[in-house]
Amino acid sequence: MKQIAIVLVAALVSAVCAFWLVQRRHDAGIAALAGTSGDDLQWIRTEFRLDDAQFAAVKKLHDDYAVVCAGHCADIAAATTRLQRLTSENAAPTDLEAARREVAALEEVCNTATRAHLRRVAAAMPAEQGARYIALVEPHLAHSPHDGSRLTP
Amino acid sequence: MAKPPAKQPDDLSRLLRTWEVDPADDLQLARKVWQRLAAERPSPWRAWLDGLARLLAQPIAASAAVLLFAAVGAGVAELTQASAREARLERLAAEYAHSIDPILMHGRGTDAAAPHGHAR
Repeated sequence: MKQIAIVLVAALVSAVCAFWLVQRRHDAGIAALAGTSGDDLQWIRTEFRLDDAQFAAVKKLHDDYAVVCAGHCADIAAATTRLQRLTSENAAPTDLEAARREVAALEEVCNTATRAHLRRVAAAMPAEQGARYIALVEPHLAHSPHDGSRLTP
Repeated sequence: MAKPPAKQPDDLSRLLRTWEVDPADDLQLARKVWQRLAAERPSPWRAWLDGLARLLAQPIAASAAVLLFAAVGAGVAELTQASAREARLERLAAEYAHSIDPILMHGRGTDAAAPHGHAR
């Protein structure tokens, strides 16, 4: 019986040590991700294992797109405000419909531009990582396609 | 040392012929025998422990047990930590999507979990 107790204690200690070691390794990986904020691109570099050149290309794409994105933001904000104003003023149905169509059209333009940006960023990554990037990010976009029409890098 | 006087074979034979054994009938004999056998037999739990002790007395089996437990510990940690990392990654992806999608920035999208601002 003493033999069983010794072996079981050794086995339990080894299980706890193995658990702790694996957990520590994962914690380091999560900390590497957690050390970057959502507005930062560092997590993309870490997660998709980009080298300096690839990361520089991705960063430039985001910098360029930020200007386009800001324009779309402003357009959508203006159109949305107009629609809200017309709604609160009980405007004519034709005016309301026109304002709604304008918002929808702007959103469509924005949607197309965002997905094109996603494709460009994915293309700047190694093919396999680009596919992972799209698979990870695309479902979080507005009106993300869940009908099989997913993007490809 | 003097030898004890031995009975003559004829005497012994005569004595054995007169010897009678008259055992009392015991109707419970079979049951009592089985009860004694059962009492002598070790319990399954005890037998299992003895077998385990014999097995773990071998160095290879003891090492294998330690390694097996270590593998189980590592496996459990791998499963729990992998899901935590996935959750963190999904959160980062959601925040990032908000930073590049103007529709989400205006709260009109399907995923409203992240702050405004463009990724840089």
